Formats: sequence, C-alpha cells, structure tokens
Amino acid sequence: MSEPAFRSLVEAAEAIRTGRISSTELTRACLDRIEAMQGKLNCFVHVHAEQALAAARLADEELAAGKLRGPLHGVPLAHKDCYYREGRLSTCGSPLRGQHIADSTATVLSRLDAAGALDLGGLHMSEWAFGPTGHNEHFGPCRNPWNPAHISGGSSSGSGASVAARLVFAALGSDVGGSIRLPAAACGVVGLKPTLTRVSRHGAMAMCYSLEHVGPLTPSVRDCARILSIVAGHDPRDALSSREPVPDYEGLLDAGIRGMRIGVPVNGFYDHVDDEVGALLERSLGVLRDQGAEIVEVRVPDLDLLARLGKLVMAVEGAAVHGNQIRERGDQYSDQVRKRIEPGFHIPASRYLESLHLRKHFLADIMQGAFAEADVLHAPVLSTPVPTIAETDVKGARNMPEVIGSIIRCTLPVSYLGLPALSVPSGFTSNGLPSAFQLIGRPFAEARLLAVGHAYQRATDWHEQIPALA
Amino acid sequence: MKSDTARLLQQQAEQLQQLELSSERAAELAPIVESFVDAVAENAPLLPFDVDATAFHAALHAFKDDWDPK
Repeated sequence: MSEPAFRSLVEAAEAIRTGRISSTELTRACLDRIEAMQGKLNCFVHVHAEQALAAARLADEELAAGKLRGPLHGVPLAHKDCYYREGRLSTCGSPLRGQHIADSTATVLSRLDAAGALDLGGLHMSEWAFGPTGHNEHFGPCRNPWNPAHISGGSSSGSGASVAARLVFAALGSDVGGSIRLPAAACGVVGLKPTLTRVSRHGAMAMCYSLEHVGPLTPSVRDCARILSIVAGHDPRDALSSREPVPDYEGLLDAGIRGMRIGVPVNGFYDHVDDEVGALLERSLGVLRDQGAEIVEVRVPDLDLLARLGKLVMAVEGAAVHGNQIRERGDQYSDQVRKRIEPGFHIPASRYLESLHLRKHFLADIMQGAFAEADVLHAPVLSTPVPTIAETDVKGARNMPEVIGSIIRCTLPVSYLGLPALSVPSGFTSNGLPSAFQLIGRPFAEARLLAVGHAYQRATDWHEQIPALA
Repeated sequence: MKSDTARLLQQQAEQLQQLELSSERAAELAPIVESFVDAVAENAPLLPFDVDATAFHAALHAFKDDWDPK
C-alpha cells in the first residue's frame, strides 16, 4: 500500500494549482488506494473511475490553459451515497434504490463541481441513514481504517472511513442525530454539522425534514473551513436554507482563542464518560487553556429529554417518508430500521408538533444559560472507546434502542436544537482507536468553532496521523 | 399501562393499511412510544398558547452569534 500523496485537502489543492502534481496523477493514486482498500474497509458503494479520470484530464488541460475553476480545482472527493447527481445511481444504503437514477443534481454537489472538485463515487452509508455505527445488513458493514474489526461510525460511515484512509481528501456526510460527528470521531477526522439551514439540502435524500444537516468530513479543520465556505449559503431550491451571509471561514481561522470562554457542561454530557475518554477530553481542555482560552463550568438542558424529543421527531418524519414503501416493500427493510421507524406510526400528530415547538423553548434555555456564560461548549462525541462491529451488531434485538441510544446520547440533543458542532480528533484510547471532542456553538457560529478547532490543531498533530492499513 | 399501549398500537396498526404489527412487536414498541410521548407531555406546559410554525427558525436567527473574530 503506497503512502498517500498528501495529508490534507488544502495541501492537495495547492499542489495541483502550483503544478507539483497533476489532477490525473492524484486521481489515479486515489483510485489505486480505493482498489487496494475496498475489500478491507468497504468504503464505496460505487466508484466512477473512468468519469473521474476524464474529469481529471480536463482539469489538467484547463489549468495548462490558465483556467482555475476554484479552490478545489482537480481535487478528488467522494460523498455519502445520498446526494443525487443527474444520471447517476444513489442507493441511500438500501436495495430499494438499487436502480434509482437521479434526475437532478444536489446543490451541494453543484457547488463543489463549480469549485473544481472531482467526484469519485458514492460512499457507504447506513440503510436510509438510520444507524450510528456503520452497519448495513444489505451492503455489509463499513470498517474502521484504524482497525477493521471496529465500527466506522455512521450513518456517514464511508465518508469517515474514506477520508481517514486518505482514499479521498474530503467527503460530505449528513447528520440527523450525530451522523457526521460520530464517524468523524470514530475514524479520527474532522466533522462539522453546521447550523440547521446553513447548507442547502436540495437533492439530498429526505429522512427527517426538521433535523437534517449537510456537512463535511475532512482531514483538518482548515480543510473543513474551505469546504464549508463553498457549500454554505442560501439556495432558492431549499426554501428553508438561511439567507445569513457566508463568512470567509478559512480567512477567519487564525483569529486566536485568547480570552475565549470554553464551557464544560457539569451535567449531562459527561455522565457516562469512560475514564480513558475522560482523560483525553481533559487533556484537550488543557491544550485549549494553554492557547489562552478560559475554561468555565456551565449547565445545559436535560440531554436525555432532548434526545427523546429528537427521537420522536425522527420516528414520525421517518414514518411519513417511508410509510408507503414500508407497507408495500417492508421486507426490503432491515429489522433495525423498521423498528426505529415504526413508533412514528403510533405517535399523535399533536405530540409531534409539540415536540417541534419545544425546540424553541430549549434553544432559548441553552442560549440564556450555557451560552450566556461561555462562547463555545466542549463535550464528548462518543462516551466510550470506539466499540467493535460485533459488540454493536444488535440488529433489531430487544436491547437495540439502548445500544443505539447510548451511542447518540451526546450528539442527538445538539442536532435537535439545530446548533453547529465540530468534531475534532483528540488522541487514541488503549485499543488503538481515535477519540474526539466536539465544540458546540451558538447558531451560525461556525467561524468560531473552526477557529477553536484550528487553534487546537496548531498545537497538536492527532489530525496528521494516518492509519497503517496493514 | 404498557400492555394497554401495546394493544392500542396493534389496533392502530390494523387501521393503517398493510402495516402489520404482531402482539410481540407491539409489546416491544409500547415502552418506546410511551417514552417519547411522555417526554412531550411532561414539557407541554412550557409551550405558549399561540405557537408559531416558523418560531424555531426565527429563534435560530435571533440567537445568531454576534462575535466578530476580526
């Protein structure tokens, strides 16, 4: 297995721009790595090698003629297989979409295309994006590049694993209950769930209208800032997308964090944290303190309550999206996914609407509480070391809700509130798997989260570690 | 209480076209449904009388960051 040519997206883009490597060479190197690793990791659902190489050759010709499309000119990416591209298959992790050819292209893909990025194919995901581990009964599990016996995290499983293994330089994921931050944390890469409505959802698979977020998984925080600057912003094709101006996230990275108040919740987030994970979290706070941040204690709303409200919304909206299909083709759903959707058929509409309306109350609560005391919150992503595939292979068993619930307990409440959150790698537990913390911000405070994450990465090198891939 | 909810779920399933739900499955789902609904019921008094459908999105923007890192 050859070493990856570059360790970060920005580095790769700069090398192409300055002629140190061609897009064709880099794309071929990525395709070689994909071919070598697919059998071990199962990151891709489909690879479009010929189209990617043709696009790379075109990028090289354009560059030779003095045309630079944008800040990702010729850089190979790939995305969770739930983003539609006209004329191409998107499986959404289900055999029911085995023949689904999209008739239009997702706005986020169009924006990345316009910035010059290449798209190598569709990445593994949990069935219909229901599942935080990376299991998929139809396509097999996606495996963690640090140890293939362990979960990649999900539901953006292929996004986390492929970026960690440097098969591609960035990938889009999507997050309803933690599906960007969990694979990012489990695989040792950066993952950003932006503020709800910050990034257009047009052309992304519908799963749960009220909680769906689109965001990047990347090797570094700087890479993440670059992708967000490209994909964020109002889209007339997504009526709910925000008109909030898009800052130059990359340009704001070096703002520094001296005097910034970083809040550590004294309730909820740390209640079930494993000792090893807790020690790594403590060390990451020490690094931020050394950079000049002030660490303060804060209280947050009841996480378990927020999680129950979020699960209710997921179940009801999932039932609404999948209702007809489950009635007609229920045998094509895994037991776990059916069991997570089924409660949604039995919840009164008034309770569903109340759970949506309660979001405003709890958002106000956290703004007037924790965010009055702190600029950014610091919390775990996963409370335990990354588990094995076998340990979490619960399918539809009676204990499934508890197992799934324990994995998403620190992430789903943040998704329910629509707040931005950035997962940053912070070391390794004794099983050799990565660990991470998340930074949670006020609405539309992505620039601040990225500045804190970048300050942390300037003082550490966890994000530069690459799995040995035996 | 849970067995009542399970029976209710099965009755509802019969009314929902082609949505089969065994009594065993209904018994498994009952505590989940109860937990979700209870979470709302316990907090419903927090809701104002005149809820606005756009209130959450308005709140997101109202609470946006005023921090200028430049």
